[in-house]
Amino acid sequence: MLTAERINDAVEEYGDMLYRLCIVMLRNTADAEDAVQETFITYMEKSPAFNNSEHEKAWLLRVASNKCRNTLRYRKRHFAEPAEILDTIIERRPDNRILESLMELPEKFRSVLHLHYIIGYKVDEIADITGLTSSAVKMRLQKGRRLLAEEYRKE
Amino acid sequence: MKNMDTDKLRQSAEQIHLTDEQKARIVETCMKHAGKSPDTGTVTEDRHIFEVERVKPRPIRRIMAGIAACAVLAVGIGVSGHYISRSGLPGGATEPATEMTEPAENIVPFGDISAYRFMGDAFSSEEVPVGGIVLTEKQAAKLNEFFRSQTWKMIHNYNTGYKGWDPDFDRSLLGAVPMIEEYEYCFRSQDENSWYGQLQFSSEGYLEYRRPDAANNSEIVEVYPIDTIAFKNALDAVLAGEEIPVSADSEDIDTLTLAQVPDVIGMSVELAEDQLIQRGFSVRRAYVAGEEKDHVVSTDKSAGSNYPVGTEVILYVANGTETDEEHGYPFPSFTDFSYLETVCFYDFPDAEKSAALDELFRSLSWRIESYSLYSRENEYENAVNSDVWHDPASFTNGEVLTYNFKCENKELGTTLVSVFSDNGGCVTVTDRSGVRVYSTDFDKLVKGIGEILFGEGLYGVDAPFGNYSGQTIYATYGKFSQEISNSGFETTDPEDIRIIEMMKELYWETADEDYNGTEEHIGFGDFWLEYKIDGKWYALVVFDNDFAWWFSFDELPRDSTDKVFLKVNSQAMMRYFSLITDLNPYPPFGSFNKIGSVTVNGSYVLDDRDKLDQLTQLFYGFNWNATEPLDLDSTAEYEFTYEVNDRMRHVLVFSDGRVQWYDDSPDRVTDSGCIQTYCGGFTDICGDIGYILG
Repeated sequence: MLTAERINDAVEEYGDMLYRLCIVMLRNTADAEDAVQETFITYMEKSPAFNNSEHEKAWLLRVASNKCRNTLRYRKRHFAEPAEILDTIIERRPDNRILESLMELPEKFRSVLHLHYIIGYKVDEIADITGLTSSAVKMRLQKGRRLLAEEYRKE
Repeated sequence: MKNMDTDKLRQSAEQIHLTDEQKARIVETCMKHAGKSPDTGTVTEDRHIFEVERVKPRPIRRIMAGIAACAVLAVGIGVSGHYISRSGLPGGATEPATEMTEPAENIVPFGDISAYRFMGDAFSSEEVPVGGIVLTEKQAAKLNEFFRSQTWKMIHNYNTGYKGWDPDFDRSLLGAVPMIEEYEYCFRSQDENSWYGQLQFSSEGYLEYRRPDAANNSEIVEVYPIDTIAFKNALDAVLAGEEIPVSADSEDIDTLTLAQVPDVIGMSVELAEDQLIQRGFSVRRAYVAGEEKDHVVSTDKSAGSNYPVGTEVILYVANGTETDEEHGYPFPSFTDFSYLETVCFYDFPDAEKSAALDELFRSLSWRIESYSLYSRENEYENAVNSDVWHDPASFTNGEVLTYNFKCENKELGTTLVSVFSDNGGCVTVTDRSGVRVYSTDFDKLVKGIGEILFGEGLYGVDAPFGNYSGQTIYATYGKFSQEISNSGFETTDPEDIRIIEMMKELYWETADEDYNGTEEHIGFGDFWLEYKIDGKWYALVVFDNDFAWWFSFDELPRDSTDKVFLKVNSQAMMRYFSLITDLNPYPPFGSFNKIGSVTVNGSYVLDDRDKLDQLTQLFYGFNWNATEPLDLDSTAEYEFTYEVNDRMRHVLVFSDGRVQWYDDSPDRVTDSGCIQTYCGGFTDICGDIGYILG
């Protein structure tokens, strides 16, 4: 079991990154915070051994992404939709339009685009994190880019 | 996406961060969860043990379920003369923990389906009325009958805080799940107060039976493997189609009665049809290559399997033509395919389209070109899991993947059927046994796939380069960016027009304006198609590095600032263009840049990737026509040697521009004969090779 200090450090170090991913995937602050919280609980319970900080980061992103998917599954099952829009999270201004466009895309594109363009992961790394095949990641990136461009132009 | 946009996206996202309050809340919750004080980090052991118990409850309620089921079973037999499942509604309190016993596998764990309402398919956009759909008595009866015919064996259970999926669930327990289109049919308890008592039948191969655990203010989830396809068929038969709802015509429900598919392979088609119709199936014929005319070669549903009465069975009937004796029809049924990728990023086609794909593939003649077994460890696994798939049999068989179908099947494992559009077109089948390469009527195949998946082909009239159908096309060809002359020829030949229409079957994608093609030039330069639409001239210019322009122009020079940038598979386009122009641009000996190293003149090993690329480009795009075999004693200026399929290939380039190639086995070098001799028609080829090699 990890120490309180280690949890504190981990939340400081990775909390924002995970929260961004969860916001992009879930589009709701409360659910995103829950997902981040559950991620750190799992992190604490499992106390996995990591080879390096990249390994640790990827592991946390994978767990967070799974937590988000769980929440999405739950929403699907319970037909519950989040009722929150982006401007409660970030300031609405022209520079942020592209993020707003990203948030309008279907979830399966949002998460891979986020991991690729915001966090900077390569296709194979995204495949590891999301559990998708590399070709599926590529496919989602390509189609996602196109959809994002369309959405961005629409506004 | 442009760099500037990426930066903007990143900067916007960086504005999202956890507040200090949120961070503190997270840390505090973590500590509480672990039974530690956030301040001291001291572990409270009791709490910790409690949490473990809560998260992983022992599956003891099964014994109660079993007892309840037995009781109801007894009553059921008494009342109806055949056994029924336990009738307990979901939502009951958790039974006390005692001990684990094996549950009876023929008892439906969730009881009578009439206690539930259908809430829809989570993967479908079809609206379901608020509150769900109440099953009719007959619908419920049919579903109950179906559920009772299944084996129910719980493989996992867990307890949740009303949320989520157990990350520790080992999915390998489900075995190989044949994936059809994604679905998750949801049923919810009729009891409004326990709405979270739910059944989720998922295409991932399991039923999740969720019910409340009142004692722990939580939810118990049991997981049962299901036969994905059988469940979908059964549930669809009852629920889909006309408006499922309460008022659904009860006649539809009779389709759920199951019947077994008889073994009709080898029978005459009439006899086979009789047998199937007698059992209540509908029948469709599809003629395929096969010598025993009018006899059934195969069916799309395997003998012995059960399907609802009324299900269509496709009989593949021999048309009297020859088949490949050794390998037979090379493809498994497309109704088993779970994945379609590459050109269209298309979700897996529905059952009707899958059946049409089956029919298309079976209507074509297939000639096996090569067959190779795996020689390296994990070669099969790597091949079916790789996103960049190359035919291990030969680099000349195909590199330009147009469609890739992936089949997951319990019996066959994973099979890839890959449709390549270069080098004349070929289809490879990669399965556990090895890799087979087939040739067929490629244009018919690609056109057929496009029509099945996209109606009027991949683009119909909406190609991103305008609709040139019916227009006069002028074609012009330039190599190595030589200036395009105005000597384009008019293509009026119907076959040329057909080929130009086939260009629409390739995947075209609009690119950003900073797109300038890939770094790998094939070497054919570029070619132009020009045509008028509504009185205005348009040019489609295809370059040799997966890049094209489309623009309109009024007069010479043909240029425009209003270009549309397109991505397209240049090799495939070149193939079509070569058919129009009667050029044969593909070097018959393959591409040097797909080989790690080439020996030049028996001594110099060339492994410089750039130089190999340049040589490849040099050889592409000529008109490769066969000539009379050369005298092997003639001295070639350059001899390139490399290994292909355990044989050495020799490519000899003579100073007059002729090129000859032949294969030999490593132990019979001196005894080899000339197989083909080609003339590239470019007498300065040796000078160019010398320049490339430096």
